Amino acid sequence: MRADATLTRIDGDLVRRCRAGDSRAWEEIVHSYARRVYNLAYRFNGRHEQSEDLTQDVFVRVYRSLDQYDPEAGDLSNWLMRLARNLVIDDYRRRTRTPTDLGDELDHHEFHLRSALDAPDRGVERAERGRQVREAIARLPVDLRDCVMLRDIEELSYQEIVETLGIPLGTVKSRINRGRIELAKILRRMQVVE
Amino acid sequence: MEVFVTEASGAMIECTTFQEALTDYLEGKVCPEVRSACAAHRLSCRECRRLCEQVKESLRLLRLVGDEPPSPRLELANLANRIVLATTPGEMLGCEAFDHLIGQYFDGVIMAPDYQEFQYHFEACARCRRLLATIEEAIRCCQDIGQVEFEMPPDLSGRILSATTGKVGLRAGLHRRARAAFDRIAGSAEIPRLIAASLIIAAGILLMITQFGSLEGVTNQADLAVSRGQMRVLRTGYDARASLGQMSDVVTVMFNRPPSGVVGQSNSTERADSPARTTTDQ
Repeated sequence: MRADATLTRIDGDLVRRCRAGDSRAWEEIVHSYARRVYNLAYRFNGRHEQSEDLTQDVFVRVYRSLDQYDPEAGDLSNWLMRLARNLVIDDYRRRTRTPTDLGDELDHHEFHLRSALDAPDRGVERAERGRQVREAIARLPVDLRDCVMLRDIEELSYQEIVETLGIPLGTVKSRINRGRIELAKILRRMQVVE
Repeated sequence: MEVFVTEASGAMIECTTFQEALTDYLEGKVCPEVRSACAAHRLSCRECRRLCEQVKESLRLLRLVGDEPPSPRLELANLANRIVLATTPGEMLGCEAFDHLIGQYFDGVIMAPDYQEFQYHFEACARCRRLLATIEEAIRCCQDIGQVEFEMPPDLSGRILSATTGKVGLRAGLHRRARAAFDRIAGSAEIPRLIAASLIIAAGILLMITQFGSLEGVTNQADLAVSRGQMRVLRTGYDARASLGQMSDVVTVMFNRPPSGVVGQSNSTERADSPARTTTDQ
């Protein structure tokens, strides 16, 4: 509890300095969160160029919305990532109105895995499987896809999904359930899982 | 005991009738008509079916008790039988209902009565067992995607700062646009054709340079060739004019030739060509 309070106080100071025009404070925020936002965007659209542009858009929006950040309501990380998630999902929904070959670029991407113990072969295998799972997810109906991605990739709580998508809790649960069943069937048809 | 009346059976016997005849029915001491009516009633009435099975089981156990003392194993078998008797196949959880419970199962909030049915269906239905295993695997795959971190382009932070505070100059943006344009061209399907065409043109230029020494030599040779061409055209025109002149002379001579007998008007050519005529005139 005390740690949280300290964190929000530090975040509050940082944002206050940003508002006062301290460019170093803003640089600190950008350097701290750019990678997370980029990864979030990349997990949704699977394309470098789009992810870069989207990350930039997110930070432009964050920069303009710094006045709205309230340290009492939570830490900066949650606030910023929630904002980023909303923008990324909006962009994703806009793009997925017309089906695309999602995630083709993943073939050529150099993966940086969190686990240092992973062997190179394992990394390649993971990358390939990740690409296939993305393909399978892309075949889901849009409403199911959003919920599955937020729940099982972003690992959000039901309540966070409700707030992000603005749909009732029952609908979220039902869509996640149907989405998982459909995803399992697609993965089986694609022979990704046995 | 309540009296149950069934209308499902064509024989239309009442529950009380069935129960009165039950012992004889189980021992096979009833006539075919009564047996048929009892069987129909047993199929259509759940309570009587249960009673019938209980009585049958009790009779079996009584026979066993006469032979040996009851063991815990027998008690368990008895319990299992009672459970099986209490649940008929029509009441078993269907695949669709099972699908609805999958979400609760993964959230760990499935309620005890539902869980028993869920478990029973899971054990009985191979399709749903496979489905559940696949969903578990799918969730694991999704979580795996979430665990992977991608390298961020090194200049992205700089571009963000440029876009927000304008601190970083335009160079980064221009560089990025140029790189993007190059990437687009490099990714184009026309590239192999462009390379082939460029190679052919380069080879042609190289050949000309080796032939004429330098690019200046090539242009000089080109000028010379043009001049030669012009001269040739002029000469050809001159020759053509000369030929036309000769032809017109011939035609003139042919049309101006004098008729026979007019010696004084004949020219030297005609004289040389017609000695006989001159002889005849003489």
